[in-house]
Amino acid sequence: MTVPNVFFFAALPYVAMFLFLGGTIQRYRSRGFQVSSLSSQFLEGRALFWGTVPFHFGILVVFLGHLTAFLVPRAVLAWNGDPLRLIILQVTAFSFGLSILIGLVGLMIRRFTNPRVRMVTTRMDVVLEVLLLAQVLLGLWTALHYRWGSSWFAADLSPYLWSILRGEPNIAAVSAMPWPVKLHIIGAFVIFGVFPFTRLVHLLVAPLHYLARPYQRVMWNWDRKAVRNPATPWSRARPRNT
Amino acid sequence: MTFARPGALRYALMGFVATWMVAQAATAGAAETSTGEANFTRLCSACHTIGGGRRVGPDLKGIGDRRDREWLVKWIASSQTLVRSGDPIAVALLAEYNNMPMPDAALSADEIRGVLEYIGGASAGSAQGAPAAAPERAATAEEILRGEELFRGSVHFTNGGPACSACHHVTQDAVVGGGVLAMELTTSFTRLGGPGVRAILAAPPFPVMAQAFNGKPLTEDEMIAVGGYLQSVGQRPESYNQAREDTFKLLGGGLGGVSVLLGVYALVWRRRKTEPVNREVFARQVRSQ
Repeated sequence: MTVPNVFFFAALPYVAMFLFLGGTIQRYRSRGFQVSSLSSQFLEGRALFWGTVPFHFGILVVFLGHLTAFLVPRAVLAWNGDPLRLIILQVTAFSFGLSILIGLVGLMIRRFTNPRVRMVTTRMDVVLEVLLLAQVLLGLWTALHYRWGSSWFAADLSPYLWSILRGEPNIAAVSAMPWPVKLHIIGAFVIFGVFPFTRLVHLLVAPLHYLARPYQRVMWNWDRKAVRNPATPWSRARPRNT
Repeated sequence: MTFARPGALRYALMGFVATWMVAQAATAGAAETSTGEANFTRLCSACHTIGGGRRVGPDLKGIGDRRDREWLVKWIASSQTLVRSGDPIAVALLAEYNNMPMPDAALSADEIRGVLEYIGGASAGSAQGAPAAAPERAATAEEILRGEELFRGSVHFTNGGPACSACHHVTQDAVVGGGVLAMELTTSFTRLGGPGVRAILAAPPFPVMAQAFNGKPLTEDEMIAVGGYLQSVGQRPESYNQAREDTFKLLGGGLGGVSVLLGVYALVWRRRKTEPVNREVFARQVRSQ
């Protein structure tokens, strides 16, 4: 065991967890209204579509894929037992990875070239996008050059992550991984740690209930002429948020 | 651009230093608890004996007298670094043992010295470990076929270990290449011999493989089958072994896949708002003139 390995794979995960939990609670308590990712769709919409859609669908699938291999490694290994299924899984995951890359690069170009978007950019937005870009490039590199990551993640990294959660980190295998894989893992912990200090917090308040909620029809139910007449008193149809 | 807290960077730096110090202390603590003997058994004994004869690597009896101690520490920490630096002893050793590189030990210099001390002490006593046992019997033709299925993962190992092809490649695949995280195994049997392959399958000295098969050892029959398959792969004529370039295929597949995805996005949101709403208002005004 060497000091950098212990630092990055046994200590950093706990630091990241502490920052994630502590930072999130602190941010929610002190600046609750800022637990969101300030939308800039009003400021620019066309380029946003080709950035945000490929990015978000890509990252949803890739993140859930990593989560699946972490939670049910044996099912993933069983799925990969058939070469055709293995290829389907890897090519699909890689395609969604490229989708993240295309979307993220599009979003970054938009952020740096559009003056309106630049006005609402914080330093942490830039830090986060650079971190995510490095993470995606390392992930794609790993997928290409150390192929069948879905299998060896399930066999080696899933037990490692569980060992962290159990509080007895076993870093022997992860210490012996090639450096792009190590950097990808370190990058994940870093992103996890800076989570509460970036726009990533919008993950925690994703309006998932919209999916199950019946849609609302908004009706304009006033006498338009009367509303537009300045003489009409507000008390007739005062707009209210309920 | 704005930043929430001007002092955040200073706190982050302090946290970094503190964590590094904790990691250093933890490493020192761990070094005291894992003894040279435990590390030898865990990492070295699959390939080396002390006075029991050659296994995959040399017999280590009296190694402290044959080689310089600091050279040994460097060699054990990373034999390939030493080979690449052109060290004559390192290059000769690698050639003598069939170009089978010794994996880097994830041990600190002090832990390596602990292992060397253990070897020194054990060299004086009775032999530790015997030359690797040959497999009980040769694999039958059926077992070789089963070995191939186990290697690829179409048949699962009894105790739930992952398929070899997750990390290993052999250059004769018909359908799909094996992984490239670990060594290519086409000539592994030729270089290591039956006892060597068996020793590694029974107690993997490589940390990644040891973790993957932790608590999921191969059964006796499975070791024979996989060993037999690797032997048959090594014996095939050169022309049969076609190298495969799956990296470019995966890249091509991904590019094709992402093109489809972009098409789907464009199709699903084909009625998205692409123009300002007042554009219609302006257009209406022009028409009415």
